[in-house]
Amino acid sequence: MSFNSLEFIYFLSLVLCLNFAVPNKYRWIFLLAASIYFYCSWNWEYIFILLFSSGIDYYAALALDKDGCKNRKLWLIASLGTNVFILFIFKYYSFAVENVTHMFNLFDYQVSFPVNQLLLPIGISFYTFQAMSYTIDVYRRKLPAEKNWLRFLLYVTFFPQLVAGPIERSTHLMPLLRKLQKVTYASAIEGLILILIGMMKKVVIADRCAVIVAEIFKAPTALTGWEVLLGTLLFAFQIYADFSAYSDIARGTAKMFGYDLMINFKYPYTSCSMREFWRRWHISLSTWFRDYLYYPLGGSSYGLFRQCVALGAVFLVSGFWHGASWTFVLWGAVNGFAVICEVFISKIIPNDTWLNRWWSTTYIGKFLGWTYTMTFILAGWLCFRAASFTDLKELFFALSRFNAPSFFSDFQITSGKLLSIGVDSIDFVLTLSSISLFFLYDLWKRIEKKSVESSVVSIEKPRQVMTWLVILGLILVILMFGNFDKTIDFIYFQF
Amino acid sequence: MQFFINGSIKILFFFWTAFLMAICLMLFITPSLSPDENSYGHAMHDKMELLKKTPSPKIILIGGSNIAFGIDSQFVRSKLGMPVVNMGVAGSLGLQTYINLVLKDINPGDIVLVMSEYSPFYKSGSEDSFLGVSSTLFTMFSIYPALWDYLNVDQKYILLQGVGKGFYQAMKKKFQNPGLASAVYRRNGFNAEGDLISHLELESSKAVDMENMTSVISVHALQVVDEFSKKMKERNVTVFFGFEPIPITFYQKNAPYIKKLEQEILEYPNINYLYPAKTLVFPQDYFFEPLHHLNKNGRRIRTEIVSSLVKERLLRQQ
Repeated sequence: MSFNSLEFIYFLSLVLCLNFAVPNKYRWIFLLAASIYFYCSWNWEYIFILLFSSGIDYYAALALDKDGCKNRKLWLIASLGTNVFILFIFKYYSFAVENVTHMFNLFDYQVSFPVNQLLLPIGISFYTFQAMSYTIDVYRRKLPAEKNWLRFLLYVTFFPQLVAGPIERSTHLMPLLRKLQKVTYASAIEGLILILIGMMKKVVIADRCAVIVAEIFKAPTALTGWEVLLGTLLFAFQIYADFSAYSDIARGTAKMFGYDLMINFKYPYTSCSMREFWRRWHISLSTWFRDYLYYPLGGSSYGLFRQCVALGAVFLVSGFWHGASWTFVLWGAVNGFAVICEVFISKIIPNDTWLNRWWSTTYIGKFLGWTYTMTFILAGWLCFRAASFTDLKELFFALSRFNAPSFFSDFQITSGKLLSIGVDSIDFVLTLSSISLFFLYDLWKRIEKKSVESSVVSIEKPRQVMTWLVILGLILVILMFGNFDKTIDFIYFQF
Repeated sequence: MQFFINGSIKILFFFWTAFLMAICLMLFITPSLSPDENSYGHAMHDKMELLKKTPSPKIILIGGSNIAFGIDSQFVRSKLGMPVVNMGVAGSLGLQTYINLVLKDINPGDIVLVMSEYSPFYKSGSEDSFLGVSSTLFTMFSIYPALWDYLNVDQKYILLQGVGKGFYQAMKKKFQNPGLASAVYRRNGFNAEGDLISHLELESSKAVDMENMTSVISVHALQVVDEFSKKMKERNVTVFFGFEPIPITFYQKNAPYIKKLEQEILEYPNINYLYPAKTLVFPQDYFFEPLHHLNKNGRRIRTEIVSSLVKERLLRQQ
């Protein structure tokens, strides 16, 4: 049951109605039942893995929280180890086997390992990280262990953010789940508008880009530089619109039940440096890595070298988290390299120099910063999107081929490749217009220094007619311009 | 409790009202955006009228645009001695839709030739091609509102899901240069039997590859065709079933799936499978564009083959 389906709208409507019909004391149990049903609608068999891993985490946290608990570290390792092991088996086993076999083959040894034919349980990367953050926070005594296993299960399985985040912190979400949340009419309306904005980003922007991107990257050897650039640019907006759409729908859904989930994106493509980009992109994951990997590795407290090592480790692991493929690791490496270079430069050129001031305060400086940042971001996305290293090599070679006629004859929008997949000139213009408007909207919000949810979404005194006209408008845009030809899963479902 | 009564239900009520208002708004506006009365889809009016007017015994051809483009009904008539009604318009209307459209006007002694595209019989994507693609159903509904009475509940639900896309496509057509489309895809491009003939003297443009099949067969589609054949048999109506012509390249890529599908079809006792798929595997230069449509030469050869097979079967039955 994907967020961008009618089934989800029916499900949400029903759960919303019943949730408020259930007595206050039992509402969280009802939410838990709905969350489990939601997860089982994907593949019911994998609920047992979730139950098993959450059971381990629950008992480990209880043990950690006991006064006079010896071997606290062992309990922590047991909990984290279980989560990492489950993640390894389902997500990285085949990759590990492939690489180990390849290494042995280099030395002419033949080895064989059992084949893993298990499907990747949906949301596993997200809920294991969320569960691990809970155990670590209990270990660090940031919050008490939850005594009620069902309530802990609700924390892990809370359906708005179960499948693709945001990866909530236990210190934020657990206290919310422990008490009844008040839902005001205004916050419920804000939630509904957020959901509609998310749907619009998904079906109007992301899914339209997805069709063209898939066609472009189908045959990398035949591409010219223009096509690679177009494909990369469209993919950059596809992944942003797709992922931020999921986060919007997740946050909007949670808001309708009275829960405020964390913001996951803050206009990332308006960033003027890679460090800034990583403070604005997939914030829940980047802060998770900051708090649970970067700081434990020393952060910036032990000198420049150690800081660079910590940053490198974070970005490599982050790349790996996205998928069992060296192209994801390369994506992480590209981003890590850029951030490390910035840290290095910031040590060499202190903040109070004229160069630094010029770079960060003037329009030309900011524009140059934005250009350099976008170059690295797009280079990273090219690695991210490539199906393999071979394809990536072809794509980079293609960047040296900028013969214009190939672009116009093969991707001519009145005939040729795009038309063969059902994309005509109007669809193409609509796609480009929508991503332009999306970017300009972000830029406007950034320049006006507006918070992520001000203007349309923030409703202190809902003016009913205006509000419902906005909602009607959003529904019309979704229905009219949405790409419903094929149900395209959210990109981050594969992680 | 107060919020439950005033807030949550209110929001849901207003949301669904806004949703239905959006659907109604588009339903209301789309006919005014609809293509002119000479559009391809408007041919449905003529075909339905032809179906009702043609006396029995008659031959009814059902299927998508493959039979609109690819059958010479006058030749069939001369070979089999019965008037022909070619109901083909667009495969994406769904084979179920065509079956529903003709049910009331089939009489004892009639022959129904079901010559379907492959897509209704395997699962691919989120839409069920056998029941019809949502946007096509909606677009046809906006042109031929009586279609609503011929759809079952599932199809009506599918149609409503196509409101948005149908509206968008109708809007696009207003701004697009029709180009080749208007030379071929027009109401007055059909002849008196319902065959499209506007493409016969034109050269094929670059043919576009068909989407490959999948291995997941739509059992429901086969069951419906079997049930339809059985009911017609009880009414003394003969139903023959076959697939559209395909290019050699498509057959080579999809041979295992086609064979599997044919084996499944033979399991159904009431489906009168007229010819194996291999019979209508043609070279690419028999096709117009896209590769569901035959050009003049391909149309002639296909009509000869199918007419001979039908005649042979009818003689064997006597």
